[in-house]
Amino acid sequence: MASISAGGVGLSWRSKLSQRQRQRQRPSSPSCLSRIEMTVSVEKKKKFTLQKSEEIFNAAKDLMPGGVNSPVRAFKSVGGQPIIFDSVKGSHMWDVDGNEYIDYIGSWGPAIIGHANDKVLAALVETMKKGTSFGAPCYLENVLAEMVISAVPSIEMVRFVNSGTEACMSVLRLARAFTGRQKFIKFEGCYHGHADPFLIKAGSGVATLGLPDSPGVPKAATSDTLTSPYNDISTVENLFKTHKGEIAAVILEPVVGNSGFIIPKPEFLNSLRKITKENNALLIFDEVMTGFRLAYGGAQEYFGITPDLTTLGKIIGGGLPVGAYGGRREIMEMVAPAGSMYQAGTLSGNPLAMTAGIHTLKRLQEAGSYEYLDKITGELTQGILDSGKKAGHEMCGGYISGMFGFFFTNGPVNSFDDAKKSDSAKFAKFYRGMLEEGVYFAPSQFEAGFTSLAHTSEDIRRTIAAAEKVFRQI
Amino acid sequence: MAAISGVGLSWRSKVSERPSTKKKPSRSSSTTIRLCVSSPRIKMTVSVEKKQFSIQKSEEIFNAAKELMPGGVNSPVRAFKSVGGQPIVIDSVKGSHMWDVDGNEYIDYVGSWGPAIIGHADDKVLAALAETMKKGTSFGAPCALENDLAEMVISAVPSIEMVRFVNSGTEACMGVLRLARAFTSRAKIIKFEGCYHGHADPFLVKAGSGVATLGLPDSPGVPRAATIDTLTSPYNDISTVENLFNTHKGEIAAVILEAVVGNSGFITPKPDFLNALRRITKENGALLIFDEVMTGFRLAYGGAQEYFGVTPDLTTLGKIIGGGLPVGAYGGRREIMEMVAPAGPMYQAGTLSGNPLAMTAGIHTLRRLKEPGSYEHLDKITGELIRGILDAGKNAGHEISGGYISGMFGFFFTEGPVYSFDDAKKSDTAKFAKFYRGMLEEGVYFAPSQFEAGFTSLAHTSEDIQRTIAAAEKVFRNI
Repeated sequence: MASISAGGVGLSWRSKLSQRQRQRQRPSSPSCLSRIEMTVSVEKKKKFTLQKSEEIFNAAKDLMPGGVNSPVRAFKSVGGQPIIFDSVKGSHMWDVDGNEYIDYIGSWGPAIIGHANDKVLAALVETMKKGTSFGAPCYLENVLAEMVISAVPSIEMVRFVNSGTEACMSVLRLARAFTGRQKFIKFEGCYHGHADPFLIKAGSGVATLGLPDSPGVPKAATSDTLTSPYNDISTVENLFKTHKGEIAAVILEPVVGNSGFIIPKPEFLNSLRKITKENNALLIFDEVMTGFRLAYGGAQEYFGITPDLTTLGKIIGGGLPVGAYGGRREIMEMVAPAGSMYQAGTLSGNPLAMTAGIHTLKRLQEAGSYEYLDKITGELTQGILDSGKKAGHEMCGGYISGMFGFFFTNGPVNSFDDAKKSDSAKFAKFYRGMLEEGVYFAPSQFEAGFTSLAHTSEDIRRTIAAAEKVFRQI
Repeated sequence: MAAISGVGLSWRSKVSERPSTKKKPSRSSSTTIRLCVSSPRIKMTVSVEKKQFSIQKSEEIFNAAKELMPGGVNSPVRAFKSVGGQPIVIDSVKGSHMWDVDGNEYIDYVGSWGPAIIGHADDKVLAALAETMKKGTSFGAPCALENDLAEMVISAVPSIEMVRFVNSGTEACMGVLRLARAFTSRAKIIKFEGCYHGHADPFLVKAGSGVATLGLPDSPGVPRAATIDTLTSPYNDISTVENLFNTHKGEIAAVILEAVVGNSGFITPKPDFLNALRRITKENGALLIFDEVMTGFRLAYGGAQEYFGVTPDLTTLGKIIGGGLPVGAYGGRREIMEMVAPAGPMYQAGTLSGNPLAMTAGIHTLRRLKEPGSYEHLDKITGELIRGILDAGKNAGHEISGGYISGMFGFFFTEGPVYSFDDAKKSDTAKFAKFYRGMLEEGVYFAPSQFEAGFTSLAHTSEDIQRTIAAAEKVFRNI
């Protein structure tokens, strides 16, 4: 089984479920999840082994930089062996050693209705018979576009792309084209994809790896990027004064997920809306994480603030690569081929991705979805904070709907600087302890956590029980 | 019918329903509904003599789309702006064929702009996807399938010792640019006029593809600061490149090009052009980057670099390696790639990068391509196609030139030869538009722009080629 060198012969790691059962032959109780017929020992982990993960990851390090296709997956800030996954379903994940985890990453957001949702899979199987990509318009683009437009307050017209990175780089170019200005304001610790202008005081993996800025980014690319601490209105006001008439836009995560979970202070978003309007700059909400998660209409619906432009991603792809940017019609009409602002994509709007998004949104539209997310995430966050404090740890955190986070510091955490006060060594210990208890959080203090409609009260209960145990040990 | 508001996929043509809805007495003067199954797998009833070519449903859907998305599309070239006429909305694809929402069938030479090299909706790929997706479409964490596809790419592409998967060609090119700058600590790059490397700001200078198609100089919203380090040269022009290296000694990080241009129409490198670039870059401590998003796994299993025997330092890939799902990649010498986070400090990330579904599609597509005879087949049918088109065009008195390599081809309405974007622009685009629309009515779907190459696949048959040439003969006489 360690033979990775398939040389492309076959998908030798694809665990044939029936084989798994024969090999397992463990008398202990079968999986608690009826849908996956794998036999996984869940009381278990008398021995928590990651040997296969280690083998595969070691092979990966020769093939791909750091062994991964996205930096945070390499576990650099939490240490320990990165986990290779074999399968996911609902709120659970199974790694290649057969360990089962309750998953609070959800593929970094897309899995809000649960991994591998049966209806979505069925729809994908049906759709793909007609092709996965046309390179030409298909009706499904209209369907998803209508759903997005009717859901998101600011969006009157939308363009689909293939990632959050593509969405953000395009919306920046659009904002510059529309206003005829070049400078823009972003906030420290916010992450908007990896286009050069955004790699300044960025969150997510940049923060996780402790990188100042990335080499290879010419100064010229970032000289128009102005930054302010999050939740700091006076810095923003000063920037607008200093650069009067030069600022095209302000872009932010309306609830930060890329520095860990940080919510806007009351009036912060309102003030930004006011200042941008006064200065004829555009307000851009990067809702790649928060869109369809904080509410069906995203953070803008939740907080009642309407930006000029919005970026989306993750959830709208339903587990396939999709991004989007949209907003006021008069602005969006500048995008080629309607206008002259260029942006293109071979796989943009492909029928398979559209299908996944459509069915994911349909499920979210069902009554009670957001009430449910609010309920279980509240239980989870409350339980974690309580047990942490009881064990004597300095902790703070919070949640909104299906998004949460916690820091190992007293708090409150209102900015990236506050977030950095978190005891990240302790976080790493907590992280690895929970892993061994079968709970999979984001392997970085500077990432928010996500729940889904598939998370059950049982999941939450087990997680809190595990946390109690780990908090006492660390 | 266009107002669905997400209730259901009501346009999803249920293939069994199709025959009954085909009776459109009000629209079509032809009542000949033939149970003509051109592809055994799709049981749609399509009238193939097309006495009347109707695209009414395309029009309805596209009109609705124009309210929802800029220009009605998610990528500019799909709007048919340079060829005119009603853009076609596609309902399904299979093998070498496409069906639009009005039931018209086309032989497809766009192949989704490259990915469909083994044919659309290949059964083995679909079966593998159906199997893989049961275990999830995205983990946000490493999976073994990434290793599998990485190994295949590394063993196939000469320059690639280490690879990073991303979600598009645009992401691959912007990643590789930052990497080249990080590795050399230089900022300037040389690109060629008419070449297209995705839409990151630094590349939107004299770009090909849709930028050329729409006649845009550069895009608004791109700050001068973003393009000030982008130097350009005409394609196939070595002396300009030499001058640039002299003028900007020690400042140039890399030269990036499409080894065979596909984004200005199809333009091949002159003998020794690539070799000269390899030499000049080496002499100057600059990197040579082949953008093989189109040519990779198409000109040969090892791409243009294998075909021409010139090994760059870095390579970008896309399209084919995703097998019809969004995937891009960049790779090259190990010491350079080790600069990419988290191995090194050059930042680049992606939530869906390396997802198991896309990896599966790529793996099975490459496996099919590896089978003996694949590239021979592509070479044979594409050669027949191009010779047929060029002959038919010339016989009808048109000035026309063109060529092909393996499964990639192009033709221009100009005497030629076409060596550069300036040469390509001499093409009679009004005539191209007429030819384009004429062929559409004959059931042949080319790229709706003079400035895009054409693609064939393993699914294209001699029958497809013959019908295409016959149609071309007819259309050439009409225009």
